[in-house]
Amino acid sequence: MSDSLTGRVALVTGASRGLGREIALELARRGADVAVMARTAESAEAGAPSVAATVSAVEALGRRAVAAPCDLTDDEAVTEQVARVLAELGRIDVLVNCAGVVSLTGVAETTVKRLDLLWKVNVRAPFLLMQLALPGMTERGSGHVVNVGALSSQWRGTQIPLGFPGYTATKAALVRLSHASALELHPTGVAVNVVAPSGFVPTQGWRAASDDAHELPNQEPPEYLARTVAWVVEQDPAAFTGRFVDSQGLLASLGELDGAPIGWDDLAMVDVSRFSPPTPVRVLPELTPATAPFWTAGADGVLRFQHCDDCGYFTHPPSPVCARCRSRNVGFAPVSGRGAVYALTENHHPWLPGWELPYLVAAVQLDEQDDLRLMTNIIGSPPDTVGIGDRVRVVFEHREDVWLPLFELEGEPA
Amino acid sequence: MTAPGERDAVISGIGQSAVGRRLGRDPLDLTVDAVLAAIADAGLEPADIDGVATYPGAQTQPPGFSGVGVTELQDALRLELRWFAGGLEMPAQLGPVVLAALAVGAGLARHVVVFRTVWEATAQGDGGRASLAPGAAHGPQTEAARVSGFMQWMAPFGAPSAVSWAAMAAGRHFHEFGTTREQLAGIPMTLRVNAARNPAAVYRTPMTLDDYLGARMISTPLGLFDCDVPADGSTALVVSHVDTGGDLPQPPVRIEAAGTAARGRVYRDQWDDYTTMGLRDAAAMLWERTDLGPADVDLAELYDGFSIIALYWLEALGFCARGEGGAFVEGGTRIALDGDLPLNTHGGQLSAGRLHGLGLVHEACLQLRHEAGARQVPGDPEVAVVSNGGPTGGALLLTGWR
Repeated sequence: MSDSLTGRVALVTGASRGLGREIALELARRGADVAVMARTAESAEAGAPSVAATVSAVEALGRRAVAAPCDLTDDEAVTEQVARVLAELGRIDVLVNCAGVVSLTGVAETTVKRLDLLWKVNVRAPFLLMQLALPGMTERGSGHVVNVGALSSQWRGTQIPLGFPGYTATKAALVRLSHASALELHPTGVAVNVVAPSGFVPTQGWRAASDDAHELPNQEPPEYLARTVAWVVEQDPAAFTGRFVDSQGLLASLGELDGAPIGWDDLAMVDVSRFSPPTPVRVLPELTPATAPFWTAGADGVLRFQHCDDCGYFTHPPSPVCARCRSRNVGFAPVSGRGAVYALTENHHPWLPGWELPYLVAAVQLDEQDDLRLMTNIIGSPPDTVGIGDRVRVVFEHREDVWLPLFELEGEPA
Repeated sequence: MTAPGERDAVISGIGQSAVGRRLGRDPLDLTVDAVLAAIADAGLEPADIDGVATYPGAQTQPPGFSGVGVTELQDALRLELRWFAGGLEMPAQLGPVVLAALAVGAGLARHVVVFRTVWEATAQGDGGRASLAPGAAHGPQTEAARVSGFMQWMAPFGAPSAVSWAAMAAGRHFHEFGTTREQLAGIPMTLRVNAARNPAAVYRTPMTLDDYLGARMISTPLGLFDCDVPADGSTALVVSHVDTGGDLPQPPVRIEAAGTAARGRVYRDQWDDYTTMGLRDAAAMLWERTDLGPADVDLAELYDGFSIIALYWLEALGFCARGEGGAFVEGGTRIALDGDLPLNTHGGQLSAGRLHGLGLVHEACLQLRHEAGARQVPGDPEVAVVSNGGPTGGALLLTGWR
């Protein structure tokens, strides 16, 4: 049991049995309260799959659960149940569209009536549920929609001996629906991702639709997909969206899968870096024995320069010799970290990704010595309020193994 | 004082490839065009060439900054060399010219091809960043990108480009001497007027003060038109021993003096005086090696990678007092083709294209040979000063053959 999802509410469709039930329980194990949506409200047979059975199982894990029985092709019923979930659990943070109709039939055997059903359950219902769940998510600026797709809907699905055009077309539609929604919703903080089993999951739904001819190799237990869904909704929705995540690929990349991994394909559908500004790139100095003492001096908040033990002269950049008396007796000594702006430019050109423009590049003249200067950035003040001669003091920015000496205005002298 | 050794050499031939934006041609292809043109201009055959010198030598970064070294040219033309040199750590792009002069003076070679090739416009045509200084990280940047050498003191602060230090220097000049952008505009605007008379220039349409001031700010106080324009092109010279001069079909250009000093601090973040950069040392040394002085100079081809650098050269070479460069170039009258000191008569790197140094030498030779056509400086000019580089750099005083 973990508590990574504590306080969050997940609505899972198809949660009375199979993959949906596994997902509901996995989310509950990680702390989520769960709304269980499926067609079979109760079962006369003890232990048989039903909404009520899953609700009990979630509650047995110590989480709140709400039964939301409905037919996903019935818009009114779906809308009603979502309203009830919101009334009882207060919110929906995670929507998992797992319910699906399977049709392992070819072109000739797939009736158009069956095709309508496939469309209604596999595409239309996820769309409606997303619409219903979205207002709260966008209001909070955070949310996860996870749609269960199928590898056969990806181009690489051609490697899998599946035809089944009706079923595959609706899963492909769901993938593209997710893709387009992810693009649109990214600015709101809501993520839309697709997960899919990497192999054949022998659930009851598949068994009902399948015969021996469709028993595929590479079977995987339903918990793989459940863990995949849980991992996806643990991610920051602003950073992880528009992805197609296959279960074994993910688990292998997390080191949670024994045996030969299928591999974590880059199945990204949306390059979110196009939408969210990347972390500003700091090109960092390569540390050498000669320069490391300067670049790591800020670890204790004290700026240090190479210093001559014989004549007291500071030399920068560091070198193996005092630049004034040529003594080799040099080390590093602290300075006050205070000085004045000697030269300044307001840079407007995007040289490096992620830097907010404009920014100030300056040469700061340290107080200790009239030729001890450092190129740096002046931060913390609007660029147009900084001028040559202004008093500044060092502040360090820690990146990896480097403490970059930046400067801010000193303010009124004491 | 014995005569300076550089007077043992002359520039006996000049050549240039096509120059332009996005020519899409291989840098060696451009180089061969320029080199064969220069050899022919000198009245020589490739077999006569026994030396090659180039800046910065073959290197792959920054994109389009080089691409051709001595080896590529030597092999392409199967030159039989007695002497060669290529590299970056020299008095800027004039370094190989000076080395070639010394080589012919010392008898190591008789006719040395000197070339400089750039194809930055094509190499950066995929949207790659423009003109990062050598040593900066390129391509997709990651947090893991690391830099060493002098770049480590600048790139971590978002200043991987030459414009960062040039702009800081300009800002310091503005601060100390009251120089203004309106004054500085005199350089790019005058050069644009010159470029209109140069069919090979990249930018030839007139530029108003409003155009200049309204252009995109790059790094205060330098805007877009204070930065030279990346171009593709190759320039070549033939440097020969002075005693061949009379035998050649072209009147060669004499090398009167060279300035090659680096005396102050040369790290780009550490100049002792941001209002002179290191180029003041090369400029001072130039006048130590000749009886001529600034008043004898008929025209100036001064490095203008950024407008402010040309202004610094004007001050450093003594055409005006230190700090008075702004007033000197204001309005452009003094530096116009018909002014007291015509500057960058082909449009400079700011308008004609960033051929990186040797383009300025090429233009000085054309002017001293009185072959500059519509942009020929009037009055049969005899003395030209050429400078390359900044922060550190080199300077040459060139004279006509007469």
